[in-house]
Amino acid sequence: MATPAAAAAAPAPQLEGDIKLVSEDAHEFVTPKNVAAQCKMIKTMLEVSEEQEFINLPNVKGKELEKVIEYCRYHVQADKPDSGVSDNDKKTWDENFVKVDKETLFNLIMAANYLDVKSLLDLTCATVANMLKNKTPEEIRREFNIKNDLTPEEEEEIKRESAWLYQ
Amino acid sequence: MTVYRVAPNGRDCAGLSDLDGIAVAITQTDRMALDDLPGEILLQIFGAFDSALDILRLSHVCHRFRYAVQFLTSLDLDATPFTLDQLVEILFKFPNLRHLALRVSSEDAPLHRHNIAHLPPSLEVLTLDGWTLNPGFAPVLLRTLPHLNTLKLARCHGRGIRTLLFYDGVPLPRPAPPPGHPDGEPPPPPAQPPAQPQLPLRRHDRPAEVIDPEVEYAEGASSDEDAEDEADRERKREMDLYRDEPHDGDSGGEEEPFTAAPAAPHPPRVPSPTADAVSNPTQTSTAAAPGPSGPIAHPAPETQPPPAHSLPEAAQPSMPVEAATASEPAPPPLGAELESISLEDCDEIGATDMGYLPVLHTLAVSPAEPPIRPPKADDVHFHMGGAHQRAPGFLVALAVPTLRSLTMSGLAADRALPYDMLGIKFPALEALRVEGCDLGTFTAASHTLRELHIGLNPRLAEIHLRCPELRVLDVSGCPALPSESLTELAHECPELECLTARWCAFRKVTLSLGALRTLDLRSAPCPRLPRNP
Repeated sequence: MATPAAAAAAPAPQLEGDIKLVSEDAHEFVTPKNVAAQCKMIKTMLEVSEEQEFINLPNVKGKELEKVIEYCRYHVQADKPDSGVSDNDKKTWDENFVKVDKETLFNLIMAANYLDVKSLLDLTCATVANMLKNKTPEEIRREFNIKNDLTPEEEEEIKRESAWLYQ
Repeated sequence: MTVYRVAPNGRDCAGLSDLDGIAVAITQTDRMALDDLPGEILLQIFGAFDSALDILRLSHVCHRFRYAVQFLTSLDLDATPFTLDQLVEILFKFPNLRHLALRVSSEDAPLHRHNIAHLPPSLEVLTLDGWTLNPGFAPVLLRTLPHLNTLKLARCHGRGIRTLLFYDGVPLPRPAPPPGHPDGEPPPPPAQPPAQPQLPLRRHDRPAEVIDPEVEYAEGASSDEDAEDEADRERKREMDLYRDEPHDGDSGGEEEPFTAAPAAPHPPRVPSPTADAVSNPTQTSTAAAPGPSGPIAHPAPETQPPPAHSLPEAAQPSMPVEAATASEPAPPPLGAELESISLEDCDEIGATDMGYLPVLHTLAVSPAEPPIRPPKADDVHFHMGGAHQRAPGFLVALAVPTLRSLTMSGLAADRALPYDMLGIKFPALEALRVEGCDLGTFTAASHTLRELHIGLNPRLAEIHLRCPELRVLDVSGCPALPSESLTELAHECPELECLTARWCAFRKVTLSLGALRTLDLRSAPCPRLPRNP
């Protein structure tokens, strides 16, 4: 079994040319392969068959796919050692990137999960976590459209057990 | 827009069945709610919280969230605002925790052993930051957490103790007698602790020598023997305190009364969600919730004798333990899975009996901050950082036969390990880091050592190595080191492959190292370390 260091030292296959990504709602995006390969799922497919010209992504809508490609394109450029983009700049860009409505954000999470873009998944999940912070259960239900399926008895028990939580 | 669901209620299909990796079709809706996200995504969101308080509030939102919280495996908790009762209640909500960090910022936050007994037994990595450790801490911890793999103590100090005790006197399990062992034969000899490497003679082992312990203690440990005696005294002292500590529920001494409700143990790890769980998470949630399924399996150290190895021979137990073990299966050895211990900025505590931990292979002792900052450009001038420059007194007597990696950084030279006895004290050691220890001379002899980092010691002027298997040597940041020291390495370390000597003041270096493949003598700042502002 190869060690992590050996694996890191192995030359990565060069991905050249463009690939067409087709979303669930039939939107087509032509993007460089090295950008698309930021999505591990697509990278795996490209490694299996480099000659394919398009990839169908039945679980991602066009709106979200466009955002994912925008994210990957920026980070391919910004993460280059000679890009001159500082970590603070990247952080600011990321913060602006996830300033979207909740539905788009949730769909973006699903897309990042499906396409296996870990950094985007971490970013979007952390964004949702930030939105949930310092809120009471009732506020969370109201803001995120969640149905309260706890019985009155269960709610009473929770309040009794964890009164200190809301003080 | 295509809108489809694979079930009438998105919650049911995109939900908990994902938690154990069962693939389900991703539900796409035109109006997605937070609880429509798959369970694995929910866990990732919950895992992004840095406050357990928020996670607990989440668990009160709906059944699904309540259920999902139980699957969290990692929690980093600032325990400062909580009472001990609340802390226990919080930890009960996370029965599947593998990684737990409990941090406190108050001056005196005692962690009693009955608090430890309520930690989730599923823990594999535990970080305790800022706590005051009471006597008997380590054995109770190891008995409560049988799966503990890594223990990190940061900024912890001991109340009335200076040594942690990792061995509580319970004999290790004996090997079963061979098949066909005839009845009536004399029983096998009593179980012995694992063989310790041969240590230098202790002062009390020498015949006809009168020692005034008061005088000796006042003078401090200036040699191996003195330090070992001191360590023995510390060990006995902690054992006495350990025995005197009140039982659970007692409120004697300095113990804080413990009035938490938990009359029940942590539940076992929540099983993976099943089809029932998917269809009826409420029912499963209730079933998996902590319940009074039995008494807490508190360790009972009070009934156990003090560690045999810490008593004089005349006081060795006359085998009451042996009688007890004859009818019951022998308990597993303490820390059966503990592989790594890290002591960061814990300059008041130490341990001498880590050698009893059967699989310990990594030990790291370090101050809170990097001890020395790298030099600016070619200016070979070193800045000793805010390191404590103190070391736990246990170090001299420490011996761990299974240890493979040892890090000692930022410690005072006069309290550091006797490195010339590496091969005896750590017969399996493969990697050693002693950076920033202000050493003047370094002597090491080991047949197993393959990697040695001894950089950032500005006073280091002599190196004597007898390490035939050494492959990697880093002496960067040792400007007092003469180039002749490197020349000698050819004889002592014939297998040396990688030599790094940055920021050293060599004028001429003559090397004849046959196996050497990498040589780095640059004096430019090292990119791996933060620059001196």
